[in-house]
Amino acid sequence: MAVPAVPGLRGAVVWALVGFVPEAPFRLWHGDEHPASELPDAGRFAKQVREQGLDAQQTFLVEGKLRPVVLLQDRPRNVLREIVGLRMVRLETLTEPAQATIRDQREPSLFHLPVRPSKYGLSKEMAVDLNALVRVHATAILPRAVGRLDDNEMRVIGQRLVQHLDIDFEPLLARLVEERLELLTRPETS
Amino acid sequence: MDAMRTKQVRANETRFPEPEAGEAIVVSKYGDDRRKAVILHPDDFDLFERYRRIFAVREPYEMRVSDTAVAAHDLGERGIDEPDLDVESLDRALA
Repeated sequence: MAVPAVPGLRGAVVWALVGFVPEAPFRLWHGDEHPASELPDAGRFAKQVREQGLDAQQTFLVEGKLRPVVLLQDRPRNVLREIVGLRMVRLETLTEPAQATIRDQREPSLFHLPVRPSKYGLSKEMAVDLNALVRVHATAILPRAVGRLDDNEMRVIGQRLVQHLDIDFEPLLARLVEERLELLTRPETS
Repeated sequence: MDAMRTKQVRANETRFPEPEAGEAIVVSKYGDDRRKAVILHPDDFDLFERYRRIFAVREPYEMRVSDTAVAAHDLGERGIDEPDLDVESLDRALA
């Protein structure tokens, strides 16, 4: 399968095969000849690995879905094949009041995308879910992007994402301020 | 983190000295051994509050996630937010 062109992925709206996050009970596949087994939780799995020789690497039966995602990263060198993106959610299955709050941009976790096929490439009203970070392999992405979020939209999403991921960027901010102050107050040399 | 709890006291009901900006007046008791209070200029108190806000212990963002955000997230995680496929868009990706 052709690998998508890598430059300009950041902000692109693409269709991709996105796997669901594995959750208990965990279903393990042992080949066509054997029935799948099920483990109730991660602790039981670890015990079987430790005490009964179960290989720590298993084939898990996990659902996946073809769906639109917005990509957050560029891959100009094409050496990192996994790309971080955000899953989107369709608004129509939510209640009307919930939809209204999203349209009014009163939900920081849900970045509203109105129906604008020429810009976003989607014919349904959606929102980017800031709580739904996904990693997709380059080969799991359909080559042609259907739309794109602009730089301002990506900046807003980036700022919100820092908060949603509980990233403490204050030390970095403080260092940048200090560096800037030092630059501003440094005596000019003639 | 919340701002520091403050209590208003009318100036004419107190006998505190008036600190200057940049000055902290330490009220001690039992000689100089124990601090009873520290009186700050309002500007310094405001600065202190700003520092508290900036460097406060972070609250996990999940504490602020709304019911709507949770409902939308759950629908998406289970893949049931899309009752049908957006064929028009998918065709664009396949073109």
